Amino acid sequence: MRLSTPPFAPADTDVTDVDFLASTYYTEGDPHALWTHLRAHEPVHHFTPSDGREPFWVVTRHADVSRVLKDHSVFSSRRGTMLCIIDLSMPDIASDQMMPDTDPPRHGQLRDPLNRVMTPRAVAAQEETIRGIVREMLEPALDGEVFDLAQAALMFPMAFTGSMMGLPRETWDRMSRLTTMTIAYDDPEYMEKAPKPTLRQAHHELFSFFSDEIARRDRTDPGDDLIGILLRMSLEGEPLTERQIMLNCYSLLLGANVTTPHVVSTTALAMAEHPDQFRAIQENPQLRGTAMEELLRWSSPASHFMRYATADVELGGRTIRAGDPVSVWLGSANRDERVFKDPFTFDVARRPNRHIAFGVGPHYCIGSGLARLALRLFLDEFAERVEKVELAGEPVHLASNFVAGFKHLPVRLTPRAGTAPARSFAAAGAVA
Amino acid sequence: MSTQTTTAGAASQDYVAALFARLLNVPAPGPDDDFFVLGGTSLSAMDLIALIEQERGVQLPVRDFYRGTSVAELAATLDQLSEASA
Repeated sequence: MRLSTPPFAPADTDVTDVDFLASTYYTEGDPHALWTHLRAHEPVHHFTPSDGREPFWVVTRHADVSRVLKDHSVFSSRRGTMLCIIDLSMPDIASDQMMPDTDPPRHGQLRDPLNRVMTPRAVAAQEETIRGIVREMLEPALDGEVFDLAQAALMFPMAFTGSMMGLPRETWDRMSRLTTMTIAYDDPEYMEKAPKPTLRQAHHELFSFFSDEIARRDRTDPGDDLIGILLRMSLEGEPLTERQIMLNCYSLLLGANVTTPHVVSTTALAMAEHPDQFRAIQENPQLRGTAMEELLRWSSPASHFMRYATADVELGGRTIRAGDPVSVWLGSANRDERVFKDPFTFDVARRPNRHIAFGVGPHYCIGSGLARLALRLFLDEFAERVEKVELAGEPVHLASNFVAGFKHLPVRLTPRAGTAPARSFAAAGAVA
Repeated sequence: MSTQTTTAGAASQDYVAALFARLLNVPAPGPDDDFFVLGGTSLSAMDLIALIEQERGVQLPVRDFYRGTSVAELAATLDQLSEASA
C-alpha cells in the first residue's frame, strides 16, 4: 500500500473497476487515490463483487467511520469484523466468543479484566524489557549494510507479547509467521496451497499452541500473565471455556503482531523520505510524542473493520439495510480533508491529530497503551542511534486487504557517532 | 503385504468417513468428500484431531492434517503415521 504518493488525479479513478476485496489492489494499487475520490464523491459506496460473494458497503469519511464504530446498537460486531469472511466466504466461528466479535454488554465482561492489565500504567512495567528488544532488533541494522527492517519488525511484537502471554520461547517464530498468514493468506510468501487452507491452517495451528499452553496450566494457580488472567475470568457467571480462552488469546496476539510491525517500518520509510523531519525529532525529543501519533496516522496499519447493520439506517445520504455488511476504512479516515489540515503532509509536530488508527468506541484497541510504549521506545532508539536512513531498494507491501504493511523494507542505517552497538546492554535487557 | 495395506486403507477410510459423519452431522461421506467442504472449520478440526488421538492413539500434527483433508487423504495420512510409529 502506497503511503505517501500524492498528488493524485482523483478524476481518473474509476470506482466501478475496483475490487475492494483484492489484496493486490492494496499492495500494488493506489488505495489513497481511490479513497480520496470516494470521500469526495461517494463517501458511502455500495460494492457488489462480480462473482456472487456478499455485497458490502465501503465507508471512507472520518465522521461516518467513527459513527459506525461507536454505535454498536446499529452496527454489530457479532457476525465478524474483518472482510476475510466475505473474501473467502467463510463463517465467523468466533461470534459472541472472542472479544472483537461481541457487542456490549457481553463485550465489557471480556474486556474489563484484560483492560486492567493493559492500561498505560500497567504496561509501563514492560519498559526495560521492550527497550532491550528494540536494541536487539536495531543492533544488526547498524553495521552499515543493507538491512530488511520489515522482516525484523514482523518479529518485534512477538518478543514482548510472547512473554506477556506466557508462551514458550520456542513457539514464537512460528506463531509470528502464523499470525501474518492469517492476514496475508494470498501473499505468495505466506500462502500455503490456496488462501482458504492458509487461513484455516494458521488458525488451527495457533489454536493448538494456545490449547497446549492452557492444558499445561494449573487451574488453581494459573499465573499472572494474560493466559492466567483469561483462565480466571468468567462470562455470565461461568468460567471461560477452553475454546473461549483460546480464541481470545488468538485475538490478543493477532492485534499486536499484525499491526505494530508496520508502524516500525513506516517510521524508517517516513524518516528516509523526510530527512528534515527526522532531524527535527533527533534534535528535539519533545517532538517525539506528536511524531509517534503522526506515524500512527500515516501508517494506519489496521486498514479496515467490518460491522453488520442490525436495522435500516441512513449514512452519508444512503440507506443501509438491516443485515448489510459495512466496511469502514481507517486509512482513509486518517487522511480525511475534513479533519486533517493538509492530510497528505507528514508532520511530526501535527496538532491536533484526531487519528483513529486504534479505532474508536467500545472496541478501541485494548493494546494501544502497550503499542504506544513499544513504538515510542522504538522511535527514541531510532532517533538516538541512527544518523541517517536511506532506502536501499523498493519497499514490498504485504498482500492483504486488512493490513497496510510491509514485508520487505531494505534500508541502510548510518549509526550516530558515539552510539556504538551496546551489546552487553542489549543482552541484559533481553527477555529471560 | 499389498492386501494388508489395502485392507488397512479401507478400514481407515471407513473410520474417517464415520468420524466426519459424527462430527459434522452429515450422512455417509465418500472417499473424495472434504472435511471443510462438508462444513468443518478450524475449530471442529481441533475436535477431529483430539478424537483421533483418543480413539486411535495416533497423534496427528496439524500440518500433516492440512496436507489432505478428504476422507481418502486423511485415511492415508493416518495409515502412514501408524506405520511410522509401529
